[in-house]
Amino acid sequence: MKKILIVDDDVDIIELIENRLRKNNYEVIVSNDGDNGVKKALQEKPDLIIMDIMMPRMHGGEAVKLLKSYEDTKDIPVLFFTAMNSYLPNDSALDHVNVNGQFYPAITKPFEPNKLLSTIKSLVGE
Amino acid sequence: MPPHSKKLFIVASLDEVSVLRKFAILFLISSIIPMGLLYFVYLKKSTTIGNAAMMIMVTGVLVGYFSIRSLLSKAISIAKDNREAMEPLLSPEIVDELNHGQNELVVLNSTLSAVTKQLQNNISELKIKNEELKVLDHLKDDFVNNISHEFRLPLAIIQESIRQVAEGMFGEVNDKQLKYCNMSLRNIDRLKALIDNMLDISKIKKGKFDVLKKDVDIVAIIKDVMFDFSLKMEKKGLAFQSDLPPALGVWADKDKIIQVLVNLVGNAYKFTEKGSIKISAMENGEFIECRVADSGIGIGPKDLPYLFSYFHQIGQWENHQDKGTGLGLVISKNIIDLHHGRIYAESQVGSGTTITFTLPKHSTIEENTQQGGTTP
Repeated sequence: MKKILIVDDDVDIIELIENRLRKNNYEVIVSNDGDNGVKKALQEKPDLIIMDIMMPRMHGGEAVKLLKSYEDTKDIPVLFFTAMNSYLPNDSALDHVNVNGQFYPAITKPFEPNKLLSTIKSLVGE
Repeated sequence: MPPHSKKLFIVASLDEVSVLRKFAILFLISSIIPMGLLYFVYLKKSTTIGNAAMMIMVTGVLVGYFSIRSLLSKAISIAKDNREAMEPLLSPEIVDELNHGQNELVVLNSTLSAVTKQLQNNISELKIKNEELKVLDHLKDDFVNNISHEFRLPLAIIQESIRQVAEGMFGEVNDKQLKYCNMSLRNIDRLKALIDNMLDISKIKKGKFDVLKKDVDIVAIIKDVMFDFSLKMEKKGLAFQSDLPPALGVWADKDKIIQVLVNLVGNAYKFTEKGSIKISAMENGEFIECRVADSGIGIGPKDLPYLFSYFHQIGQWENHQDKGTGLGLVISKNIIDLHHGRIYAESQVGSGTTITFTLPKHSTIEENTQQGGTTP
C-alpha cells in the first residue's frame, strides 16, 4: 500500500482528501504545517507528498526546498495543492506550478476528485 | 477695415488737426519774440546791412507763417469735409454705443479670464479625481483578485463534503437527499464559474491575461468541445449539427479558444429548448470564420448591442433558471480581441442566435519578431 503525506494548514480539506485517499486504498499521514511536514517526511519516507503552498510559518515552496536538500527525501515526488491560481502559469485549467524556478504537478482547489486520483496514480502507481 | 475702426480713425485725425493749429500759433509767437529783440538792437545801431537782414528775416517769418496757415486751412477743410460726411456716424448715440461696446468688451474680457481660471481649476480637479479613481480601480481589481482566491478554499471544502455525502461514502443516500446534494453541487459550480470569470476579468484588466499562440487545428478543437457536450445535448433532446472541413489551421491559444467555444456552446445549450445547435467553420481570406448557431429563444434588438458588456442581463434571459455569470461573453470577446479577430452576434427573438468569431490563419509579422521568428 502506497503511503501519501498531506501537508496543509486547513484541517477540513485534509480530512476530505484523507477520506478520498483511504477509500482508494492509500495509506495517509497528515501534517498541518510545512515545518512539521518536512519532519514527518524524514520519519515516514512517504511515496508522495501533497503540499499546500500558502501556509503560516513555512511556505510550501520553502518546505520543498528543504525536502530536496535531504538525501532521504530528495527523490519523493511532490504534488502541489493550491487555491492560488496566480502560481499557475496561465489559468486554473493548467496542472503545473512554478515553485523555486522548477515546474511541479499541481491540483487547484476546488478540485475534481477524478483528476486528483489520476494525477496521484501517474505519480506513484496504484 | 470694419466700420467701427473707420469712425475711430476720423475722430483721431480731427484731434491731430487741432494740435497742428496750436503748433502754428506757437511757431508764430516763438518767432516774433526773438525778432522783436533783434528790432530793438537794430533801432540802437542802424546799418544798411543790418536793415537788409532784418527785412529778409521778417519776410521769411511771415512767409513761413502764411504757408503753415494755408496748409492748416487745407487740412482743416478736408477734416471738416470728412466730418460732415461722417456726421451721422459720429452722432452722440454712436459714440455712446462705441463707449458702451468698449465697456462690454472690458466686462467680457474679465468674465472670460474668470471662466478660463475656473476651467483650469476644474481641469486640475478632474486630473486629481482621475488619479484617485485609477487608484481605486486598482484597489478594486486587487480586492477582487484576493477575494476570489479566498473564495476558492471554502468552496472546495463545501463541494467536496457534499460530493462525498452524495457518493454514499458515509452510508446510503435516499433520492430526496441526493436531489438536494446535486442541487447544491450545481450551484457550487455556478459560483466557481463566477469566481473563475472574475479572476479572468481581473487578469484582463491588469493586462496579465496571456495568450500563448501556436498553430492549431480549430476543427479538432470544435470536435472535442462537441464531444464534451454531446451527452448533455442528447439528454435535452437537442440535435448537434456541424459543417466542418477535415482540418483548418489557426494561429491561436488552444485553451483560450476552448474557453470561448465552451462559453458559446454553453450559452446556446442553456437557451435552446428544442431544435438544434450548429457549429460551422470556414476560410474567409486571411481568417477562419467559426459560427455557433442555435434555434433558441434569441436576443432582442435592445439587448443585442450590449451582449459583450459586463454583467448585462438579457431581457428574455432574466427569468431563465440557469442564468450565466454575465461575464462569459466579455471574456470571450477579450480572448478574440487578443487574437486580432472579431466576434459578433446576430439574433431574432424566438428563432435563435448566431455568434460568429474569426481567428487569423497565420501569425502577424509583428508577433513573429516578438516570438523570436517562429514560423506559423
